[in-house]
Amino acid sequence: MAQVTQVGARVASKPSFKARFQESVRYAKQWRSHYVFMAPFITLFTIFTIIPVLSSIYLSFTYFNVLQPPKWIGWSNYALLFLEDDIFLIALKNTLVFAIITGPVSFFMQFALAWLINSLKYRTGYTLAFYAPSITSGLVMSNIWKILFSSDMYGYLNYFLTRIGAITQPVLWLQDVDTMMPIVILVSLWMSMGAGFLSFLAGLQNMNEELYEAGRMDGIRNRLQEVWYITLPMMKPQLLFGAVMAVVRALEVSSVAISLTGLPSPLYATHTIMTHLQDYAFIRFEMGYASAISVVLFVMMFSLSRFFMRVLSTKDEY
Amino acid sequence: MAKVLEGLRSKTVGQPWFLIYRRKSENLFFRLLMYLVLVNIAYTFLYPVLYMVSTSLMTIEDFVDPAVYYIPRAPYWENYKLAFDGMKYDLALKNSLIIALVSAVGQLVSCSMAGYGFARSKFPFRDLLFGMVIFTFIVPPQTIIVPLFILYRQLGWIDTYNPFIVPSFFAHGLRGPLFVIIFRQFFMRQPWELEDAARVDGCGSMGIFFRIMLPLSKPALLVTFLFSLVWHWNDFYEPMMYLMKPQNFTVPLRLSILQSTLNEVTGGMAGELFNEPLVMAACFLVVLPPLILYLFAQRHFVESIERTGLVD
Repeated sequence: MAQVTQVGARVASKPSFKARFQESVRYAKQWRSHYVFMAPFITLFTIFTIIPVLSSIYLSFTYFNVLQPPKWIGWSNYALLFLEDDIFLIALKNTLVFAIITGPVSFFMQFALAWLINSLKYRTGYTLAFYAPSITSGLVMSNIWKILFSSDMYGYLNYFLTRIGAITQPVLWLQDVDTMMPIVILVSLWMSMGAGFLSFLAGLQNMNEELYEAGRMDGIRNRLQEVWYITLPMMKPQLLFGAVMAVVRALEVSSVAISLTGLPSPLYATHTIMTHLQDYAFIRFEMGYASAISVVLFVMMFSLSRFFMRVLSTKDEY
Repeated sequence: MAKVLEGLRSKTVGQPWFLIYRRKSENLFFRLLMYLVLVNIAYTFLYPVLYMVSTSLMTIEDFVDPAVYYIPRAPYWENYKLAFDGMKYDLALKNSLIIALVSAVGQLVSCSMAGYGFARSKFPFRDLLFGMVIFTFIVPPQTIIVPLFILYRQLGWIDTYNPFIVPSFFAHGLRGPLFVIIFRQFFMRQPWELEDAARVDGCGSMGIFFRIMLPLSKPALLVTFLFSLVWHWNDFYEPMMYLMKPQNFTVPLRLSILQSTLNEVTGGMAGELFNEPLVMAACFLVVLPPLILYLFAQRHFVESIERTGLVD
């Protein structure tokens, strides 16, 4: 008898496969009219995402140079990638360095600037100034950065530093291994005040003033405490959105890096996984090897997306 | 007087001066400092843009003359004329606008529908599918460009606008998954009561969506439209992959072949015309339309994001 109740309890806590199947069939019937909404997405999702991902996985096991049909070579692309390709390791390191620096810094900068300008007059003017760089195209603006960091004496930074006497001869900003990465990071930080910044600003403007009053009554004494105990908890949704955007942006460096420092960059100083992929795919036309790089990226992205899934589903009603 | 001072001191004892609790207009010095710091930061942010605008109005003599600082001796509009011709701006503008506008409208329709589906219905594998949406959002387009390119070539879509427009009508395209997520979060916040009431009044699912939910979602629609427009305008990577013939080029692509087009237009002697001020003028022509759009819509940008709630 005791055993039966135990079994019964287990069934109650985790329905059998058949029950779950029946339940999902019931749901499918109940919500059938809603499939209309999902249909366009699901059909093309298969064509434009699932098939390319699967064919990337297939190509990663082949040798494929676009002209001849792919030739199956097993794991050797992966073996080459992980065991012999030193440049891939450099690219991996650069990508991580870049993401670890720009992600948090841009996130903090977005929040700090949104918070600072929120209480001021002429807010719209400041918003325009901070937001303008991110609606300009990174590739277009890299033309201007190239002039500013130009290596001859006409380069603005060289001219300025010479005039104040900091340097005696021009620095090769975009060719020097030590300065390339910091400059790429700087430029992408400059462009990072985008959607996340606007959503922080919106969240701050939406804050209820009475909460601050109440907090003051309850003994909040300075602005830092106010931010920590009231503003940040109230803005959790916007902060999460900003974090997601910051991470995604951090992975999209390659276009700025390529246009500033070239592909491949001198001594691979700004070489990221994405530029490595582009190098093999569109310069050397080794599509099989490039696909192996994308598969490595997929695996990285997949774990990241599981994390975001958890974050976004915290308030799921069902 | 002494009493008041004493009171103030007891309130603020043990706190560094800049952290003392003051809201809004209380501390003049603090506010002045704040304005100064922010004006500096804003200047730093705007500097490249200002530099671009001022340089674009210089002659090459002004540009290399260290005595000319920021303000050209006389505004030299010839750069803009040359940049306009050299980029075939009217043609490129038309291409860019078609791609950006049509794709933005497509994403508006399809992403709102998909977002509504994810927010309001329960069907088998819904969570798995949503996980895949997030996956596509994070995966950079570069990773699947090889198979996609092969696919588009087989479909005969290379050198047409289809690779941009068709996916966007099916909730894909440039950052389409992000918009699906935005709409999902938006619809999840709307009360069920509205829909129940409409259902009681005999409205079907389609009716509920188009007559009730869609009018409610104006802020989300606006945000999607503006972001989609600007991102499509600025996109360089995908047009570079899928467009080969110069007459199909978008404005940013035209910038990359400015010199050769200029040679063609002016008859080969443009090597000497091609200089930094001219490039700056061309760059400004590229970034001008999104800037104008932002200037007109900036109130709506922030307001709508506020009402969309984005992630909640």
